[in-house]
Amino acid sequence: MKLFFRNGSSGKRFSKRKSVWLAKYFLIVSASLALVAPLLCNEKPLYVKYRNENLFPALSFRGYADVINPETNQSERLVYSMIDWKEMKKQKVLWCPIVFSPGKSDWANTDYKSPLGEQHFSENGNTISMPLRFRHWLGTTRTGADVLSGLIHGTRVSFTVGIFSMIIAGFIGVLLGAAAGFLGDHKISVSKTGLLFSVLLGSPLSYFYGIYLNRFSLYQIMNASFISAIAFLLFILIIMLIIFCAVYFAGKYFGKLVSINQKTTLPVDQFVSRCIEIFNSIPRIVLIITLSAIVHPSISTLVLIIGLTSWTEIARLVRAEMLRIRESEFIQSATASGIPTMRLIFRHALPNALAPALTAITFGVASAILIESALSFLGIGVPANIVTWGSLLNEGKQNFNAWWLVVFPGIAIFFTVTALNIFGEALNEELNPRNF
Amino acid sequence: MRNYLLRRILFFIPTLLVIFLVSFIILINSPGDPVERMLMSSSGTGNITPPAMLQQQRLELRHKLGLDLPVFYFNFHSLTDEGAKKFIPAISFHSNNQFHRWLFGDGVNTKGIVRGDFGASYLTRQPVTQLISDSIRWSLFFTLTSIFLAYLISIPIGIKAAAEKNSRFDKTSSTILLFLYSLPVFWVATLLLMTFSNPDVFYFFPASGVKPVRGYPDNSGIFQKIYLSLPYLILPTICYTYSSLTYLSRLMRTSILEILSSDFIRTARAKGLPERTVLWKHALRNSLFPIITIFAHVFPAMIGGSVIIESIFTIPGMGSAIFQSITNQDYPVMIAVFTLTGLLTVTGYLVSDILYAWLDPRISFSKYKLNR
Repeated sequence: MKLFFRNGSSGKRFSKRKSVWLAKYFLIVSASLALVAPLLCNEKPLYVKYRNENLFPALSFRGYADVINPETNQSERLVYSMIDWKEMKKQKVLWCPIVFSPGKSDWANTDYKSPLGEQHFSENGNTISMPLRFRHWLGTTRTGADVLSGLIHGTRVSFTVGIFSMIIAGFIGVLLGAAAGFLGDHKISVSKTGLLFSVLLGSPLSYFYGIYLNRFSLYQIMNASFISAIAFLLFILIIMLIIFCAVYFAGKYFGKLVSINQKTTLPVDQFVSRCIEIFNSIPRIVLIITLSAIVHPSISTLVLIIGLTSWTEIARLVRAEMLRIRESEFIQSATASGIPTMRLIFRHALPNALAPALTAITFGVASAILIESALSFLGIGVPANIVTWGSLLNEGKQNFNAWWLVVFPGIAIFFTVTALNIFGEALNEELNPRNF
Repeated sequence: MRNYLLRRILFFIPTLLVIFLVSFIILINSPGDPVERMLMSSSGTGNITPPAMLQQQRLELRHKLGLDLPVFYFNFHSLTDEGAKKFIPAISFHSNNQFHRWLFGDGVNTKGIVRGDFGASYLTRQPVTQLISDSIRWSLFFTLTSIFLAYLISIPIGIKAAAEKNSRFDKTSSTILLFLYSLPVFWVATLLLMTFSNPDVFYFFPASGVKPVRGYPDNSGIFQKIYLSLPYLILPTICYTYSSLTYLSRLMRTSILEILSSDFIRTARAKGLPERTVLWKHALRNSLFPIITIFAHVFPAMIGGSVIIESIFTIPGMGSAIFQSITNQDYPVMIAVFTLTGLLTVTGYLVSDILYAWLDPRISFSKYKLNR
């Protein structure tokens, strides 16, 4: 992709380019921080030599190790999350860069320890002044949780929510927008009896066989795991589609039998546009807040909710772009050479219509991050044990003297959102030059 | 024009229906049993009810609330629950169902949401309508005041930025506005509270509420009330206002630039009109349309933002109503606020579309236009 920020493409906006460069590198750095967060700040050391055994607690998926006690010659189980690693007698140790897990209390430093003030460290039962290695660089919360490690893990949560919700929204938006823009109201011609059959008979039947008969297993699998839930939903969708199509063809041949061979066109554009308008009429933030209040709070449901409610802007932009492309000459010549419609859309038209969607997705990530942090600030939607930027800010709101709890998470949100907005603006300028 | 109006108002109805349906779906899927919640909130008196009587109460309440009715007008189900006949679909229709009753009431106890009856709060057993009508005033007050302020500030900025395109003012204002746009409102609110209503730093403004704790003094006039409330209103108004500044002034700027590059402006300049007249008389009037009609977009955004701002500043508005109902799992209030915000938004869109069509007659002649 040579589209991104050719150097010196527009000389007069050099100062702007510099800010774009900064924004880009800020995003790359924070995304990589988010990726390696569990290795970066973890109370479990990266490497420990304990009773002559080499252990890698921070890298372990298993979460425990069996160590032989040399005195009794018996095997002991070390459960990594239960151990106080700082008190433990170990032969060698390699700590993570930040030696605190998010949300875990450091009992020596409870009650809002300032990053500038004195901090304590307990060693062999004595409380001493904090060694530099174990310092809370950005202070602690009321329960003594480290703010810096919370911030870095918060980056992980924010980027997860932002990126994955926009993947969902982009998928829906691009598909619907492309269909609406390219197919329009008169492109798909279907049999009238088939349409009548599939709407009146096919949709209830597909509901019955797809959802009604599977409702108990659907309910169970929704509470199981994310991937199996998605797979099962896809399976149900396919079943419903098959039934729907079968009824359509049955209707079509029924029409032929009684010799009603009338054709009609599917108003795809009307349908999608009306959907967009109706969706836009529901206040999005209130809908998200209401929905996340009634579902079980978890990151994946939050991603789903934000993704399913923010596809309209993308769909609208892709639709407008497709309307323009549909009339262009290369599509006409491609149509004339007999390329099937599906291939025409996905191979020829859609790649040219993605530019506005890309900018909308960038802005969408910013707004999803804002919504996520606002929700966790209010304490809705995100589970209470997950530390996010919003939940840190919420703790800061309860005690205004703990300025570090307000300032640092806020700066993190502000910088990320600003960087995304600058990036999106530049992308918009680069990809849609005729708007400027 | 008349046809356009008719079509637009006709389209209002399915949107309303969808909002009602979504609210209803959220309501019946909300966790917990309303009957248990109501019994719980009423059984705080201390006397113990025998289990048989409790069961009786439960059934009566369930019948009274209509929870024993089918959910929707029709439903699909199996012919029988077991055997091969399980795979044979059947359909049954119900004229008396929960959705119908929720919409139109049962004619005896409830009047239905169409007539403005959202049921009773689980928590206080007060009618929801009463709770909402107290709070909607504050939300509307803040929203409308700050939209007015935002227009007042952003239109001049937009005009100046457009008139002096690529000037220093244009660049600085666009940078500042971009930063303002990215500032999360809950952070700004917390920072403002931390700085200006913190006894340790500055104590200029009270931290919460909209009026003095003891209430207004007796027989105080409207001006005295405003004077007493003013310190409470300043910080929330700032938070409400600043976030829409960027959008509005950028829109104003593009709108004026678009007009300034059109033919009639070139004519006006060619015939020797001073730049001042061109800008203020010819360009400005024509570029005001989109920014007036964008009202419909700013309004729902502010209603949404009110949830955060109101719960931070503890303003007794719709936003804190929905926040409190969520924390108390008081679903009727939640649904009422959701439906009402939806209604307000849809009405805003309707008004803006009609206004736009009235201002710009081309709209009503175009066969179909998706203008948002």
